[in-house]
Amino acid sequence: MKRLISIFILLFLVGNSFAKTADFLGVKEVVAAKGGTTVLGKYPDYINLAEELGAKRFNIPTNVWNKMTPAQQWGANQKFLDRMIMRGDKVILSNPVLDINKVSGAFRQELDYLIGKGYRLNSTGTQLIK
Amino acid sequence: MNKDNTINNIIYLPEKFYKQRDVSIYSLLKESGYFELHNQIIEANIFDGLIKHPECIDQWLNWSADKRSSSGWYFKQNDNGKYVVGYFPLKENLETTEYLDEVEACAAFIKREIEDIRNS
Repeated sequence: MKRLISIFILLFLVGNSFAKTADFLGVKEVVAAKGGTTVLGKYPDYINLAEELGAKRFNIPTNVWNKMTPAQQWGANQKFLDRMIMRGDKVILSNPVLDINKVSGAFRQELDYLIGKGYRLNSTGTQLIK
Repeated sequence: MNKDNTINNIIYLPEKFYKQRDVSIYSLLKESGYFELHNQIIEANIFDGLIKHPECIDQWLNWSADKRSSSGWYFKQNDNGKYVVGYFPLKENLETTEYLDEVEACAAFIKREIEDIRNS
């Protein structure tokens, strides 16, 4: 299984070059990509909103996700965010952020990463803007 | 491993997962002893464990919010203050349930979540 996860991660990272393809090993980051919009937030709100908007979102097949370490999970997430930055997507937040200090976990990690890359929250806390 | 130890290991799974950093949740659940006792551990046992360790409930709420998987159970608090346990994406045979009691909701979520992980 470890080998399978390593192969998955390797393919995921290589997936940069397949950014225009639809469904990469089940990772629906480029599916229904309309107008370069990505949704971030808490599970499952961000997936629900992304589906509604036809936007991109980060998710990994459950059987693979459950066998990844926290470092592997964040590594894959970071790659997704890097590609999103490169595309210049509009970033919508499924869970509005009025006070970032009240946000924790993976969502906070995603926000901190993007803020470190020059993004900031808009006045309503519903988007990250440059 | 006895049942009480296993239940204790289970309710602290999110904390262990984020502290250890280099082990998957599947491996941690396996190490907890749950795979051998999955038929004997029911929601009521987990409920009893959570009553003794209520600090774990927030960890499970965060655990659910942090998921980035394509499908699975979730546990969250609604705008009206109720706790919801459901499955994404919606499935006919998997009900979404609202709870007034966070311990009851958390126990229901944990049992469903660890079964999902065991079978993944």
